[in-house]
Amino acid sequence: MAELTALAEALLRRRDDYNQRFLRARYLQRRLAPDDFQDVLRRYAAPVAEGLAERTSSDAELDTIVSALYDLCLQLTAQDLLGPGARVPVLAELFDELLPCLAGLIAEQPERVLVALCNAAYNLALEPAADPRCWIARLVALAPRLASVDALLLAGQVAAWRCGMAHYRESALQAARQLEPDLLAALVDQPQIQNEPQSEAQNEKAAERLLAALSDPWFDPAARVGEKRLQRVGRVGGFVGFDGPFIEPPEVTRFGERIYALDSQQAWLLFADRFGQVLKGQGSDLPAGAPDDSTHFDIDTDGRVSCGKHRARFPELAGWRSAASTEHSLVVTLPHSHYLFLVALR
Amino acid sequence: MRQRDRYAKISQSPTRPAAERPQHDFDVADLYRGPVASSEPATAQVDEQPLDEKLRQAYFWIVNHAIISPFYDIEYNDAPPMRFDFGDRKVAINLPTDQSYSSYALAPLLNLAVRRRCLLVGGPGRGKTAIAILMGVLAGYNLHEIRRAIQHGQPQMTIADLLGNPLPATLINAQSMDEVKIAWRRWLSMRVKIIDEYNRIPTRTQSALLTTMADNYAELYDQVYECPPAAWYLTANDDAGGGTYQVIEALRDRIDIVVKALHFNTRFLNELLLRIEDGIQPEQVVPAQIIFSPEELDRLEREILAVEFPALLRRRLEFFASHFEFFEPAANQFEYMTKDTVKLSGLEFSALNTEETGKSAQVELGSQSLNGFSVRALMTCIQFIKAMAYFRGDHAVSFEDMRQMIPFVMHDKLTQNPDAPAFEQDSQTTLRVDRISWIRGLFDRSCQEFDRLGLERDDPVAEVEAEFERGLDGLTAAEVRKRLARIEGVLRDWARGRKLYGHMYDDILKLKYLHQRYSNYLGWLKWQN
Repeated sequence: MAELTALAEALLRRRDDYNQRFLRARYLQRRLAPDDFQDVLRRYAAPVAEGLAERTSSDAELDTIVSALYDLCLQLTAQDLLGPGARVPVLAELFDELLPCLAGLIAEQPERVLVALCNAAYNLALEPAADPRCWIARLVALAPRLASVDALLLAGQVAAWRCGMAHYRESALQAARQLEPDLLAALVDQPQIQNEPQSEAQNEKAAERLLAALSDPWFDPAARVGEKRLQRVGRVGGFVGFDGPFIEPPEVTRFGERIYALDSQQAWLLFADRFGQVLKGQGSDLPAGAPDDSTHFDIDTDGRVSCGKHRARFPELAGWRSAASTEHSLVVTLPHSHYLFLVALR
Repeated sequence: MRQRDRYAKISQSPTRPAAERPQHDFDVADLYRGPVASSEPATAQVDEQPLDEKLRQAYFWIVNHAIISPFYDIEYNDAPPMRFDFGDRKVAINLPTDQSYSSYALAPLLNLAVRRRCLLVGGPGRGKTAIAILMGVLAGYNLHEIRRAIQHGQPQMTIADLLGNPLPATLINAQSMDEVKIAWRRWLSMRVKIIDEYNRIPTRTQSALLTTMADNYAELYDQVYECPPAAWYLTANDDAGGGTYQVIEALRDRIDIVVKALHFNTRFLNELLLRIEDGIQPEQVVPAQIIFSPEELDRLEREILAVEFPALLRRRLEFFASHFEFFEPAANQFEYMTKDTVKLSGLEFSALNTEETGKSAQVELGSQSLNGFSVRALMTCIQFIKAMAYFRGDHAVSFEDMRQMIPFVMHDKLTQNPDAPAFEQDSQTTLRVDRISWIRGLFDRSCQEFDRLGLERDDPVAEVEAEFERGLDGLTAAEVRKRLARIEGVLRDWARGRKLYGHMYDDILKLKYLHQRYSNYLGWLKWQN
């Protein structure tokens, strides 16, 4: 008789309970097939459980972890997120690549860690501008340095922003303040703190400087210090027929410090920085009140842009249709394009 | 770990996307919220969730997972619906274009929100008790508590069975009634009260139940137990006189909404098969996210009451309700020309209703009923209409909220006159049985008449009333005389018409009332000078 895996042994210990959980899940999700769920347990849960079994000191401890793992797999299978025909393939990569690296933290708080990571991977996969594989890779690289579950979750939040979730920028920067300086530096590719071991106080000061610099959305920690110049920093949007958001060439306008793009159907809120550009639908209505007409950047009809003492010409923006700017970025639309073009000092 | 919570997951999507979209701040904390539910206590996001959204989530959970009620008899449309006619009678079915609902799941849920008294009627095995139990679970009670608290009507049920018992030791030693301690039944303290098969309760015990239902307290041995505000659910297999005991009229009158359990659609037999095979009951897997705390239920009711009822819609409701109480042959004096006068006399309506009036059946809607609406019925109606608007995420009542809810609240309140000529036509005979369609038809015709009379634009009574509402202080005698003349002018105009309809009756009485108030004020002005 073949030797039972750690998962199989744990399942056997509470067999009736697990069977009842499956039936309850199937009551709510009729297409949940027993065979599919068994495959998911074998393929994804068993290797994670095996790695965790080595770190637990008792069956009871392993049972708590397996219970969370079982429920997670049950929910993911029931929603077609894991297993045959999974709608979000990146979750399989999460099980294969990231979870084995985090065995210690999963053992500490299994349900909290597993649920949070799966939801995060799912949310990243749903955001077209984000790169969930980049997020997994960054956390895999950081895993040996993550000392607690709280540090893991904070790092995951900052990494999500770093991997394209630009709409989380403000709150991610708040989270970044709670991270250890070396973790923060690694997440935003700042080589100095990572590579040059210094005293704790020096590192904290360097982290403070880094956070202050990151208040400029286009700050690049890895770039050489030098004179900033106006340059095209991004392009976002597109025609709805090619998976973009706009049904016709959009216009942009500014309310407070936020830039909205709108076509005849709806308004979109733009989030943009060095790590990504995201448009978030806002329904058909713009915010109440009048748009803000003040400008930080000027652009003439030939595409000449000026900001303070900086000047540059962008011929491709000549004959622009609408423009709006914040302190850090100029957003321009053209009469015959479904894109927003971003210019910034970098 | 509460395992069942995670299985009984509910949709993260808004249940009514058309409802007003709140301004959303993007927070990276949302990164860890998603399709995988945690069994840990509710997150801040859930706590902050608007209660109307929670109410809708509860509704959709019930219809998707708990009660097999694949009916959309509360139809909303935001565009003309596609319609198909079947059979020789051209029976119509509409495909609603806006979110529509099953009355059997929605009405009990709204009853929980406004904490009124709901009667569930229908044949055995249609889930009447099941939905009542679900409401108890949604109100935060566990299944065990709810099952123990159900009062099962049966012919031997005594008042002590219903309310409680005196403790024997105190009964023996007591020198006065105050000293008798009562062991009150636990269900009296609950915010959801379920009386199963209430028409099997003996008449005497029904009277005790009436006090508890009507006045929200129980009384035994001169001692009073004050009950908390509660939603009541009563069930009956047959509400048309069946049951072991006749239900006393006062008790029936206290029931605010009657919901009919519709038949089982045989196309859903597979669902039953799976339930049998898996041995899971829906009430065992109610998700934590849709369970309301007592504070939330209090807030829910307050928020519902705050929903605006626009004056023009209120006027349509007044107009509709005004058709039914008036009965011209009941008296010589104008004020007594009501169906209530006839009822109190003990005479049959048919004995008085012999004269051919020549009134248009289209306009004389009152001839179809043997009573008018009670104040309680109108108040209940307003509450459920507001609850419907709130449930749909609106801040103000819409015409369609009113049109959809009135039949469900009123079909049991208006006693039909089956001999009315309106039911003689071939297409109308079914309305003697289908009371929901009957009331909806009455409301539609009332609205047509309201529009025909142009009351939305030109309502002389409303104008006079608005003038009066501004107050009498500082009015000169000349101004009062002008207003009296205006009232007299309106009455004179109406008196030229040859027919007197129900909707005119309340208006005339209102004008008489205003005339009297102005006259008294004029008398006071003269005395002062």
